[in-house]
Amino acid sequence: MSISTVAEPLTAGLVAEDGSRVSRRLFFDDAVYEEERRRIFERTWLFVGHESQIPDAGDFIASSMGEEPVLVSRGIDGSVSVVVNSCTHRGTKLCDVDRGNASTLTCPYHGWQFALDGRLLGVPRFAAYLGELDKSDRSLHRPRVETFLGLIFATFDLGGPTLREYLGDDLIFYLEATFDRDGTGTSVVAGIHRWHIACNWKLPCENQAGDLYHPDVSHVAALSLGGDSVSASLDPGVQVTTSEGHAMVVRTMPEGTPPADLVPGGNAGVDWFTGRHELVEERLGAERSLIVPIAGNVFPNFSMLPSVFSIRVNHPRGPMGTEVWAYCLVPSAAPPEVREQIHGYYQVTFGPGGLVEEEDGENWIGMTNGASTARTDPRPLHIGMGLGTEYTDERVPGSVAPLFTEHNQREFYKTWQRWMDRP
Amino acid sequence: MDGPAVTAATTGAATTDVVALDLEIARFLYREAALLDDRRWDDWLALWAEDGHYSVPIRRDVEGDDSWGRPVEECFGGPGELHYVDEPFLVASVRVAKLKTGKAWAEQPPSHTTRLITNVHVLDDPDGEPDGDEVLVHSNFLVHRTRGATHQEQFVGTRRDRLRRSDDGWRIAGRRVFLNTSVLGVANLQLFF
Repeated sequence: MSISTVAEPLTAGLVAEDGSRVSRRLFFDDAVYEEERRRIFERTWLFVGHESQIPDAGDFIASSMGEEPVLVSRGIDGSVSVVVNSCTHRGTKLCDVDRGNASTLTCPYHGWQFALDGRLLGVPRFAAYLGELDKSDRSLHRPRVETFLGLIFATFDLGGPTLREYLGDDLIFYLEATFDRDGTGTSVVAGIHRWHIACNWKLPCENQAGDLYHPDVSHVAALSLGGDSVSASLDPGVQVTTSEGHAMVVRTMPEGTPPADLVPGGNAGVDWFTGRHELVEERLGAERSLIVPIAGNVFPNFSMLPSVFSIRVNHPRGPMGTEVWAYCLVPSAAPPEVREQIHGYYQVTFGPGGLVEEEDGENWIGMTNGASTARTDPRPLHIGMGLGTEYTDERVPGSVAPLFTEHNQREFYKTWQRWMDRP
Repeated sequence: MDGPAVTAATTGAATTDVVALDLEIARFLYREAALLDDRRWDDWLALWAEDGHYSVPIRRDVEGDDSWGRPVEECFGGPGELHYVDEPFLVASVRVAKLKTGKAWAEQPPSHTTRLITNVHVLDDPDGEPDGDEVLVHSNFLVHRTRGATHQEQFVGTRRDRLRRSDDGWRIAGRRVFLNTSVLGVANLQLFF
């Protein structure tokens, strides 16, 4: 009999209890990153794609869960499957394209053939296995998959909470106001902005969780070309962290606000959005129609920027690398000219060539390098703005704080620490 | 059995007039690249036609959609699909205005670029008017960008330019940039190709 001892995780205590101090090791350390892969990316629900990317039976897209390549597909019965993109024979990557339509997946090495839902259908020279090979035991590895308002999530934790439990009712309150505002849902424009930033994956996530402290400084060049300062354009805004540790930034408009001031972002499609206000009130209720989502992050790495019509995943690629996959989100009912305006507005402001977003990557690279090169400073990083200012407000479910605080960042790192500490 | 057709389109056989035009266009594109490398933004903007359009589409990698024999345009996302950049030339002047604020931090201090422009030749233009004042031009590029002590990046691809003859030389009426990579290895695209 062997005796095993349960050691404290090597990541214990890296985030202060109140979230206001965070160790630099979170942003460059290989050992911390390995633990994150196991404790976060193999246990949480991860965004893998949008249902509008796979409308027809046999449609599939390549995606990834953490660093693991997966394929997301639509079955003949309309259901969505997610399988790990690696042959169960010798591990070869099965599929090297971004998307397509197929009835089966054939391994390019020895020709094992799988259904899109992962069942092993055919093995060349099967008789040569002399009965040793049980096909039913060699299906592709299948994470659990669930969809919500068109968003497809999957998890490697086969026995954990359901997606709805993981999101939590208070986050769902905001997700409905983001992804199904007028009751007819949202879709993504074809094509994905994908680019690699030499930064730790948590930095874009906590930024999009609601760092409103940075835009007036980081994006001053773009903002000086037109428009208000961020503080003016987001008033009256608040930060919210929900019960399961997810983040939102929303504007809470006063009763009697004209519908034209309740549209998601910029001037894109403003008349069309305004004309749909009755539908929005019907779907969300009069009170919730006054909540305008700006940004947010579903822990760990699914970020939302509804104010510029974007959703994105910040895929980890090693402790000092992130591959951003950014999509443009449009209301499914939008007519072509509104779709075009939304698409154009997102594209000129955000994405790797966006006038606003161009500066962000540079900051996160600087933070990642700064953490790794200045590792001798014993003081953890400072995330203390507005500590203790959080409150509750029945109109805005969750833990609420003023816009210019680091509330959502503290809560992001506290959520991170909770997942890292969980046995 | 008949072999593949050998035509001027594949061999590049051309009259001296056509070769002279290729050289004239190449000279224009080399000068233009130097303006970008030297960050002479206003001089560069002046090379554009006012109705010009600039786009950088995204490469598609789709199952069964092999690209053998297909023109490069068809291997990239088209109208209605997401692009890295797809905008009237006027937006380029906004991008320049942003750089000139001196507060576009990803270009402050500025990066250093060297553009290698090659394989320049005028193409048969299916949409062109005979004896019109526009030509369709193929060119390849390698852009090397460095910033600070550590950043080193390169972009490789091909372009299709529509150039228009004017009284004082050529103007860029349209540029489509086809990057080889489908996942960009860079933090931003704060440069022109």
